[in-house]
Amino acid sequence: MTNKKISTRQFAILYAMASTAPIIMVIPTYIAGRAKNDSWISAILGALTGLAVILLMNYITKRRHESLCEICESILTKPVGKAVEAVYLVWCFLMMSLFIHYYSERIVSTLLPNCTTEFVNFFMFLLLALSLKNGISASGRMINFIFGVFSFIFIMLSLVNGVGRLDYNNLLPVFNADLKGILTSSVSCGSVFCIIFFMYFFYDDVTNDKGKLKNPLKGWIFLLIFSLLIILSTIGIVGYGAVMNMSFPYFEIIKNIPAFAKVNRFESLIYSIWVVSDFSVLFIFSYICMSIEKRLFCLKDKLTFTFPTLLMGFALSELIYRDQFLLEQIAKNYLFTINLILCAALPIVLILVGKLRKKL
Amino acid sequence: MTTFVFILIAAVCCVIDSKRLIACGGRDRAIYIILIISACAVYAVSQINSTAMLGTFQFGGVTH
Repeated sequence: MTNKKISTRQFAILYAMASTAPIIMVIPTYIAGRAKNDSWISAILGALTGLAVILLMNYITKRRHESLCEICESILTKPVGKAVEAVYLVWCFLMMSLFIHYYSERIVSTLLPNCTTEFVNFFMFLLLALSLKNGISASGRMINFIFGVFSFIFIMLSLVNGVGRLDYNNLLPVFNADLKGILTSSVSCGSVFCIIFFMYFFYDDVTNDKGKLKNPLKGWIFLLIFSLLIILSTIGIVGYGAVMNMSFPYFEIIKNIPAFAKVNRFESLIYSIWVVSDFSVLFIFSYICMSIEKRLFCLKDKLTFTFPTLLMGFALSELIYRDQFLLEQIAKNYLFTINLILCAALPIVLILVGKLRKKL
Repeated sequence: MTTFVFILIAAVCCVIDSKRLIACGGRDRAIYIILIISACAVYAVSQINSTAMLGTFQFGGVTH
């Protein structure tokens, strides 16, 4: 059974890879408007929320090396545990369909303008089905390998972009925006950092090794560096006013690096980074949905449910997020806040009830 | 993609998984079929919804 599991290191890499796509999407667009020059403070505050969730989950899993479903059923009793699982299953389907929609919209509006979103979705569906059918260990190894290349390209592009173009006036003075703006924008950033919480739903597929806290913390540090680099590469160069009005700020700014002015089609390299990260986040949420389904419906094998889970995710993305304007309003006002509450509330409840019932 | 194509893809998925499903228990099979049918229903509803929301209608082969 051990070879079907992933190590805590691979777990952390999956976290870092999966969170990069939402961070590229969320940080410049949602933060710039509210936190303005202090966007980097919002990112750090959001990251601290993620750190708190990691520490809380480490406290629980150190005592019980089980999936979050098993922990919920054990601590909150079986009926309440099942109800909690049902809520999180619905939420994970919503998140999965949101990321599917963002992925297809982005590809269609930037790379393949003459294609339909369904056509793009179909190929992602095939890719996800192939990788999910082989289990998490195969994809864990693949993403482990890709992460090195991914990080190198990402950091190099950010450095090349920043040299000579970075204007510190765009990031200073500190606390130029009001505190409310900084805090509200840190919610969207924090909800992305908290994606690791959902990954504990398949923690029974992670080996019980020594790096339980160390490796997720490393993933968190990587993610913090990524998010700060994104802020420096966007708001640090053109200012929050311009970033606010861009659809895909990071890629629009990276595409115009003067050093690459004479290199044709190098932006395909950037898009490949984004697609790999999109694949990771979709893979993670599909696998989380399958893991919750297995426990909720007492199924024998979760991998059998790859196709129904993916079909449901793709169908939901067509149903709920059909209207782009509505989607942006929902995401800005509700999705990130609810996501953060769901991620932060359950660990606290589990620890409190677990201590009261002496199950932790 | 029409609802028919989506249902066709779902049917192909069922065929691919048929061996695994036979080996699984009755509960697994039931949940599998319920999920597949729900996904098809959701997709069908999304297609109706999108047309209604956009307010498009066809007249003489031209979409307005």
